[in-house]
Amino acid sequence: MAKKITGEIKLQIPAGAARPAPPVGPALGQAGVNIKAFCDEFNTRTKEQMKDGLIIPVVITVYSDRSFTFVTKTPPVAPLLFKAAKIEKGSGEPNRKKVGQVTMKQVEEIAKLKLQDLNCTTIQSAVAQVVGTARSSGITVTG
Amino acid sequence: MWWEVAVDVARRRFDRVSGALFGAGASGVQEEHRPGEAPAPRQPWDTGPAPKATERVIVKAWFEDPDRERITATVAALAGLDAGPTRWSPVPEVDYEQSWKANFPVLEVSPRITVAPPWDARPGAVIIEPGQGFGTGHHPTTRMALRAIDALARPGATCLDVGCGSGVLAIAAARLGLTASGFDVETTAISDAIKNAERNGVAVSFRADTIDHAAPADLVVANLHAELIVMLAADLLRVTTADLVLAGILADREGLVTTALSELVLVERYVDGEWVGLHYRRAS
Repeated sequence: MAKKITGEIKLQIPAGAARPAPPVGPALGQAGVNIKAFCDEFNTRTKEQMKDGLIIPVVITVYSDRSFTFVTKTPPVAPLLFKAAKIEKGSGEPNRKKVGQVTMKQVEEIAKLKLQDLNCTTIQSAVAQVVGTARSSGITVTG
Repeated sequence: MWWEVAVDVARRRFDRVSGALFGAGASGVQEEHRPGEAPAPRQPWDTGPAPKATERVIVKAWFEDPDRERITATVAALAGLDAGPTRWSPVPEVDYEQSWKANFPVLEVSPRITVAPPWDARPGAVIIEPGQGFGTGHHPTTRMALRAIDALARPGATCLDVGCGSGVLAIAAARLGLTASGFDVETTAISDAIKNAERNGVAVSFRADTIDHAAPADLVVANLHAELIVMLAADLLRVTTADLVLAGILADREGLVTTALSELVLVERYVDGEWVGLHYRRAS
């Protein structure tokens, strides 16, 4: 089809939890697309990640006849690190106050998962990005 | 009551601020461009490098009955010294389950074709649920193709919908007595097209495929952009036994198509705003 794109909406939604309320309601409502169809499809696609309570970034492309498509991305690095370190959130003062620790093996696992979405071509550069996020969240990397 | 919070942050801090907002109970987060910084959408036919990501973004989050002071303090601690002020605004109560439906009114497209959504179905209308396949009827190119189908449909003839999206064109053809089929490379669109055919009670064969396996048909319809038509030109010529209807051509790219399909006879040209449609016939 001659699909002219009118906009792109970037959201982060807990896996399996899209519903016709904020943020999906206002964000998609403004674009005038079928909110129910998006919620149903997003929840089906992310059902598996629901048990881990993951946050899923999703990019919704809206076309000129208000049809849409969307792609889901891997969860953001910070919550994956918090989960690995078994903490609720990062440090407000990462340089002075450390709030948890993760092993290099855990960092590598997150880097492998994120490799498809991070702007990296090698696992080493993905690892470096994950280590950077850990540092700025007050999480120590050991091993 | 729902509240929306927005803060202007450096892009590199987005994930941390977003994580903190979820930690504070946000139902979801949106990344937006700052006012005036959103680049023009990159179209499927655009070539060249994608625009560079902007340095700063607006993080928006939504909360039901939030502790606004506490959340503002959390965001301020994480967003960095250069962050903009944290702005709160109440979210008006809207029935999000129903409100979007107002965007899809019934459309009387041609003497014999009316397109309607499932919640406003009426006898004889082509019922299309707006979803992940292009072709809700609410775009001039779809209507252009539908009007051509109405004018050219001969009961008993075959129709092939190339890049069928929602399936609206093939379903309309089937409604007019043609034996119709359609394909698209996008599997989500095909799944919508199959459901739309069921809604209409018509037997149309939809499959996720490329044009390579398509069989020739009497009426071929392709609502595709010019560059894609040119790329598929040899196959479009192969599958067209009588009529070829093209829509979705931006006026400034029409020449690309007419050059690629010069072995067919141009019968009619349709124009709607910036869009052009072309009806070709194979010389007998």
